[in-house]
Amino acid sequence: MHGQYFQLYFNRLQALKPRAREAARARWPTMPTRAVLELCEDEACVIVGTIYKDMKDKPIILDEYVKGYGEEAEGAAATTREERATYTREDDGLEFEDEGARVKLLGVDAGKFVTGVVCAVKGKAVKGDFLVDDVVAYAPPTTGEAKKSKSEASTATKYVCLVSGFEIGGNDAAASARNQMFVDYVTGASIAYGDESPSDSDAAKICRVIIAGGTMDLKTSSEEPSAATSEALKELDIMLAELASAVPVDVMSGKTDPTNKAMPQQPLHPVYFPEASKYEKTMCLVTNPHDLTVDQTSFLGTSGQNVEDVMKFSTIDADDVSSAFVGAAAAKRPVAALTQTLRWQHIAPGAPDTLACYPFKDRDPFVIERTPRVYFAGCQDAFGYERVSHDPAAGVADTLVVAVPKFSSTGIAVLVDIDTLSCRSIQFL
Amino acid sequence: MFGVTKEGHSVCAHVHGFEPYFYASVPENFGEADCAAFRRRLNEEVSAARKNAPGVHVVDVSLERKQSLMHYSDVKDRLFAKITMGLPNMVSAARGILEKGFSVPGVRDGAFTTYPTFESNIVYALRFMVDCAVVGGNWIEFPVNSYTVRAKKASHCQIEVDIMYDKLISHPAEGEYSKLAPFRILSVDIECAGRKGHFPDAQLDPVIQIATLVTEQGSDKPIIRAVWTLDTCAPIVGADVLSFKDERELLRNWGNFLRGCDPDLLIGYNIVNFDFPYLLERAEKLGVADFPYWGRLIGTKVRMRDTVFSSKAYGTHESKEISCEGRVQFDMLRAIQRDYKLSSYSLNAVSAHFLGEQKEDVHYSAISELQNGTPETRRRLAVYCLKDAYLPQRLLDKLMYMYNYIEMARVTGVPLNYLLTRGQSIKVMSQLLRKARQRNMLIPHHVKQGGGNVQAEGGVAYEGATVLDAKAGYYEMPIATLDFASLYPSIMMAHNLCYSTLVPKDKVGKLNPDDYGTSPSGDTFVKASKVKGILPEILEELLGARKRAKADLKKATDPLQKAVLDGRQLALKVSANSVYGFTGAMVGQLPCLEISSSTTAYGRTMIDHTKKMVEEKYRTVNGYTGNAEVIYGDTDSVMIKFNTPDLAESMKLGEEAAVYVSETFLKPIKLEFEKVYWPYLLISKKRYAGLLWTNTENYDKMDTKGIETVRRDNCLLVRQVIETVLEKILKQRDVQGAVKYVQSTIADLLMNRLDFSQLVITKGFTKEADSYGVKMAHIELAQRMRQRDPATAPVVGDRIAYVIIKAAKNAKAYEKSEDPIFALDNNLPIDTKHYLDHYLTKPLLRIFEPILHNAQSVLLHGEHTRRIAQPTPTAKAGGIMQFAKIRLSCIGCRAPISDEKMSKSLCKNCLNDESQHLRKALASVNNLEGDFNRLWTQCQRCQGSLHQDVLCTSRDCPIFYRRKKVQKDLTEATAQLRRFDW
Repeated sequence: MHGQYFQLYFNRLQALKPRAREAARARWPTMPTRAVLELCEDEACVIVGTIYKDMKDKPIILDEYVKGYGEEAEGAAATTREERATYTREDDGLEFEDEGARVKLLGVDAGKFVTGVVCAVKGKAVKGDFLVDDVVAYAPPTTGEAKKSKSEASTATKYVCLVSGFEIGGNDAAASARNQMFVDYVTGASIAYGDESPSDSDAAKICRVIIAGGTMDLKTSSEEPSAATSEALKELDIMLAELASAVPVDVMSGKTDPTNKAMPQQPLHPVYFPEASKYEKTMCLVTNPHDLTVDQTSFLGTSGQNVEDVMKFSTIDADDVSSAFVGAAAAKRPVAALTQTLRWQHIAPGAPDTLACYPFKDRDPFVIERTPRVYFAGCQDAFGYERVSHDPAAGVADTLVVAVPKFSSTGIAVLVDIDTLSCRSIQFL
Repeated sequence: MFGVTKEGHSVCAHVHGFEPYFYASVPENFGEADCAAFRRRLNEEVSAARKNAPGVHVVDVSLERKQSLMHYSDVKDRLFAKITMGLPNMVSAARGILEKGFSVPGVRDGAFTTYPTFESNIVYALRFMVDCAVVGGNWIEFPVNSYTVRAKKASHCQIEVDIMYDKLISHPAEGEYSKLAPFRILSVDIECAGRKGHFPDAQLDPVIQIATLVTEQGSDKPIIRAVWTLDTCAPIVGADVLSFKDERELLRNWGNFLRGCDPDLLIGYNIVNFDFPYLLERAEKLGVADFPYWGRLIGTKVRMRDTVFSSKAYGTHESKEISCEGRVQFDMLRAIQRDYKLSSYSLNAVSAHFLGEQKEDVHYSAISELQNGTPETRRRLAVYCLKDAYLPQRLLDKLMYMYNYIEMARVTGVPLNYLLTRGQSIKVMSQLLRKARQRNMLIPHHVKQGGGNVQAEGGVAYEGATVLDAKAGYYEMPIATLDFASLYPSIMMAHNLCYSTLVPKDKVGKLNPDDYGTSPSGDTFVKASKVKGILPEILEELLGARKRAKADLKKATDPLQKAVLDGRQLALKVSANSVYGFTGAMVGQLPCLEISSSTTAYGRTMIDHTKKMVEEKYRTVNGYTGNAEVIYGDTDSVMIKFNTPDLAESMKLGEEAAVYVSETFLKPIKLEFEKVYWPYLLISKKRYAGLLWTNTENYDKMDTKGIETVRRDNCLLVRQVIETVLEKILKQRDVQGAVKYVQSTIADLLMNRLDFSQLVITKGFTKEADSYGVKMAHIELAQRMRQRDPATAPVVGDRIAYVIIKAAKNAKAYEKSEDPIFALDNNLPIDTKHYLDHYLTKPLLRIFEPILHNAQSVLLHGEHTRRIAQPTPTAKAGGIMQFAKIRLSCIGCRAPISDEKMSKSLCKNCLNDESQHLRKALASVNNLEGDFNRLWTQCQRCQGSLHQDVLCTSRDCPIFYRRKKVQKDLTEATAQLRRFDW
C-alpha cells in the first residue's frame, strides 16, 4: 500500500541529523545546538533540520483545477509546466524544519538550496524568524573504501566506460551507425582511435560499461505501445547483446526508458531483451540510482534526474563549479549541481517534493551512506568532471564527479581509470 | 458612546441630556393649554400599561408645526404634538396607546380619539445620531471644557468622559476626517474536543484551545498572536502559548485578556453562531461566573438570544444575537455570505476563493486525538487553530471590509453593526429621517399588517421588470449592449417619484395638469418644478457622491486610497438601488407601492421604447450596414445586433444609439453603451454567455449568466465541462472542438477514466432525517453510514459528500448514494449513466441546442457512448459476486490463465507480445506514480510540515478524493505489474 511521504522525510532527517550535528560541532565547537521549539530570542545557536523552499512559481497540481479540466486532459497544462527550465524567483524563501516545528530562515541565499536538504545552520532567533550567520554545515562525507594501495599484480590500467542517452528510436540511420561504432569500439571489432594498435587500445582495457539511462527515447507515455517502439527495442536488444558478449554491461533505467518513472527507477524488464538476456552473467539490468564496486572502486550514479531537478529548483549555476572542473562549459552547471548533492550527502533532495519517488516507509534510500569514488549523472548536455577533495579530517578519499553526456547528441563516451580516477572522453562522429 | 482616538486609545463617552421623543398628529384646534391635560392623561395610561408603575413617564408635550412626508399637499404645515418620554422603551407603549385611541378632557370634548403617530418607531440610538448629525464610523470632537473626565470608571476604556449631547461636534467624513480610526481588531478561533461521532456540544465537550490575534486597523501585522491551550503545549515560534491544567482557568484567563486588550472589533469565522455561544455556554456549564463580561461596561454581562434575521435581499437566517457593549462583532462568514455568491462558504472554500490557497482541514474527530496526544500534537493543533484565527483577519484585509463597511456606515448614517445585523431598509430609513428633518417633515409610523395578509398583498403587489423575449441562438456577430445607468434611481429622479410628491387619486383633479405626471401604472406624482421629492434628492446626493468618488478613484494613485474610494462608490451604488426596494418592501417600514410600481412601469416602457427606436433607425434603408435587431432585453439592458460583423463598427453604432435614445428620455435617465458581446450565446431568458469586449484590441473576459458554472450542488464535472465548452465555443470559436471535447469527456465518463473527485457531490446535512419530508440521497446515506460506524458518520451540521453508484435494478435514486471513500475502498462501480443523464445532459443541451440542430444525437448518442467500462465488482458490492471464485486472468485479453506456471500475467496467446503488454501496464503505473507524487507532496506542502503525516480531511479540496483514489489505484496497478515476474 502506498502511504505518505512524511516517513521519507523523517527517516532522511534521522539519518543525516547526527552527521550534520557532528559537522556543526566540528565547525562551531562552543555553539549550543537547539531544537526549533527551544529557540530563544537573540540567543546564538545551531539548529539542525530539513530545508523547505517556498517558491511562488513551483508548479502545483491545484492549478489544474483552476485552469480547468479540459486543458489538463489534452496535456497542455502539463507540457507548459515541463518546458520551463527553472522555477526560481528572487523572492523564494527558506523555511527550516526539525521534528518539532518550522521556522523561517533569513540571511541565506535561498537560490542555492532546494527542498529536502538536511543541514545545520548557525544564527539566532529574531522576532520569530531565524537569522543565519551565513554559514551552513552539511553532513560530512562518510568513509567509503580505504584508499586502495595499488597491488603489484594489477598494474594494468582498467577503465570503466560511462555512457548514456543512446535514445534509440529516432529511426535515424546516422545515429544507428554511430551507435554501432561505439559497440565495435568496445568489443574490439573496430580499429582503435588515434595511433593505438587494437591490442594495446584503451578499448581493450574497458572492464565494464555502465549505461546511465536514456537507452530509449519514450517521450510520449501513450498507453498504446507503438510498433516503432518495438522496433527500437529490438535494435537495442541486439546492441546490448553485442556489448554483453564482450564486457559486463550495467544498463540503468532512465527518464525516457520503458520502466516506472518515479525514483528509484526499477530495472528494465528482461522481456524487452530476449537476445541480450542470454548473457546472464554480463548483462545486468539495474536500478537508477545505481551503485556498484569495480575492483574496490565504488561507483554511484543516476541517469540525471536529480541533476535536472536541482537545476530547475535552484540557482546553482556555472559559477558554482570549482577550479578543479575540466570539460565543456555546458557541463559546468550540471557538475556544480551534482557536486552539491554530494556535499548534501543526498542523491536527490528534491524527491519527493519536486521529483517523483516511491513513498518509502522505513528508510531514505537516497541518503549517501558511503562516499563513492566515482559519482556520476547520465543524460547531460555536455561532458565535464571535477575531482572533489573532502575535508581531510574525514579521511575520505577524493571523489570524481562526472557529468556523462547524451551519446545521441554528443557521440561522447567517458572512460574512467578505476585506479587513478583519471577521466577522459572519446568521441564518435 | 464608544470610540477610538487618533492615537488608538479607546474612549467611552457618557452622553447626557438626550431624551426620546416622537410626534403625533393632533387636530388644528389643539391648543397650548391642552398639552398639559394630554400629557397627564397619556402618563396615566402609560402607567397603567406598565402595571401601574408610578412616576413621570411622559416628560413633556409641546406643539410644533410640521408636515407629513406622505402625499403631496398644498397645506405646508400642520399641527403636531411632540411627545418626549422619560425612557426609550416607553415610546412604543405610548405609541400603542395613541394609535388605539383614548380620550383627553377638553380635546374634542373629551371624545375618544386616535392619534396617528410619526417617527415613533425609530431606534433611540438612530434618533440620537440623526439629531446630532452623527453617522456610523465618523469622527466626533469634544470641544475643550465641554466635558469632564471620569475618575471612577464604569467601563474598560482607557478614557472615559461625561458630556451633554448638544456639545459634541460631528465632523462629516471629508478631508482629514475621512481617515479610518485605528480600531483594535481581535480575531478568534476555538477548538473543542468532541466525543467520537458527535459534533462538539458545549454541555459536554471542553474547549481545548482558543487562538487569538490582535491587529490594529491599518497595520499589516498582528500585534499579538496567542493561543490558550488546555494541557501542555510545545512552544510555537512567533506566538505566545498559555497552557492551563483547568478549563475554568483557561476561560477565565482568556476573558481577562479580552477585557485587558479592549478590542473595538471582534472578528472570526462563524463566531456568532459557534465560537462565542460555545464559550458562553461552556463557561456557564462550568460555573465560571466571572467569564461572560465581554462588554466595555464594567459589570455588564453578555446576553445571548436566538434571533431570526429575515430580509428579502439576504434571505432568512437563524442566528444567535450576542450583546456586547462597545464591541462590534464582525462575523466574516456572515459578511461573505451577504456579499458574495459562492458554491461553498466553508473557511477552506472561502480562503481558496479569495486568498488562492487551500487550508488544511482537520476533522473534529481528529482533534480529540491530537489533544489526547503529546505536547507536540497539541502544538500542532494550536498551529492549526492560530491559522484559522489568522484567516478571517486576512480576509478582512483582502476584501477591504473595514473600508467598505465604514464607508457604507458613513454614507447611510447607521452604526457599523447595523450593516451586518440589519437589512437594507434601516439604511434608507436613516437617510429619509435625516432629509425629512431638514425639510421639517415627519415620517408616519406605518402600522404593519398581519403575516398572512402581507403575503397576499405582496403577491398581487405590482408587476416586475420587463424581460424582452430572448431570441435564443449563437451569434457570431458582435452584440452591442446598452445599459441604463442606475435605472431605477434615475427613473425616480426623472419623474420625481417620492412619498411627498404622490398625489392621492381623489386630489388629482384639483391640480393644474402641467404640474403633475402620471406614470404608466396610473399613479400621479407632482413634477419637480412644483416641489422636489425627498427620495429623488437622496438619490441625487448618493449618485452625485458616487460620481465624485468615481472621479477621485480615477485620479487616485495610492492603492490604499483607491481601495477606500472604490469601497465608497460601491456602497453608494448599493444604497441608491436599495431606495427603490425600500418603497416596495411590503413588510418594510414605509412601503409605498405607488412609487415602486410606477418605477418598474416606467422601466418597462423605456425598454420597449428603446427597442422600437433602435430597430426603426438602424436599417439598411437608412444607409446602415444591416438591419438592427434587438435580440434580448432585461430590466436595465438591451442587446442589439446591428448585423455587422465588424467589432469597431458595432461599438461606434452602440455609442451612437445610446446617445440617440437617451435624448428622448427625461434627465437624468441615460442609456449608456458599455460593452459588446462577441461572440454571444443566448440560451434563454437570464441565461447567456459571451466574450465581453470594451475595446477593439482584446476581450475583457468571458461573461456568463445563469449557467451551471457556480452552483454548489453540482459535481465538479459539470462545472468543468460547461466551463470548457464555453471556453472553446466563445474564446476559441471552435464548436467542433467543443463537441469533440464533450464526446471525449462523456466517453471518459462512461469508461470510468475520470478523476473521481469530479464526481463527488456535496450537500448540507442540516437537520435530522425525520424532519425532511421526502427521502434525500444524502440523508439516507448519512443513516447508512451511521449503521456502519457511528463514530465517523456525519452528524447534523456536516456537509455530506457522496457519489452515485450502480445499485440493484429499480433502486430509488436515494438508494444509490454512497460515501466516496467507502465506494473507493470497496470498488463499488460508479453509475456513470446516472451522471450523464441527470447532471450533464440538460445543461449541455441548453448550450448546444441553439448551435447544433441535432445536439442530442451528436452529443449523447454517438459512437463515443458505445464503450463502457466497469471495475470488477467485489464481494462487498453484494449480488452474485459473493459466490464467485477469483482466478487470475490474462492482463492482455482477460482470458483466465490456465497454466500459472508459465506466466502469472498472460495467457498462452498473449505471451508472445509480453513486451507490449508490459509497457502498457507500465504506462498506467507511470501516470499514477506521477499523480501520486504531485498530490501527496501538495498536501505535505499545504500542511506546512514535512516530517508529520498529512491529517487533512478537507472534502472541499479537489485533491482529497483524488489522492485517496490514486493511492489505491497505484497499489493495484503495481500489483498487476508485479505479475510480470519482475
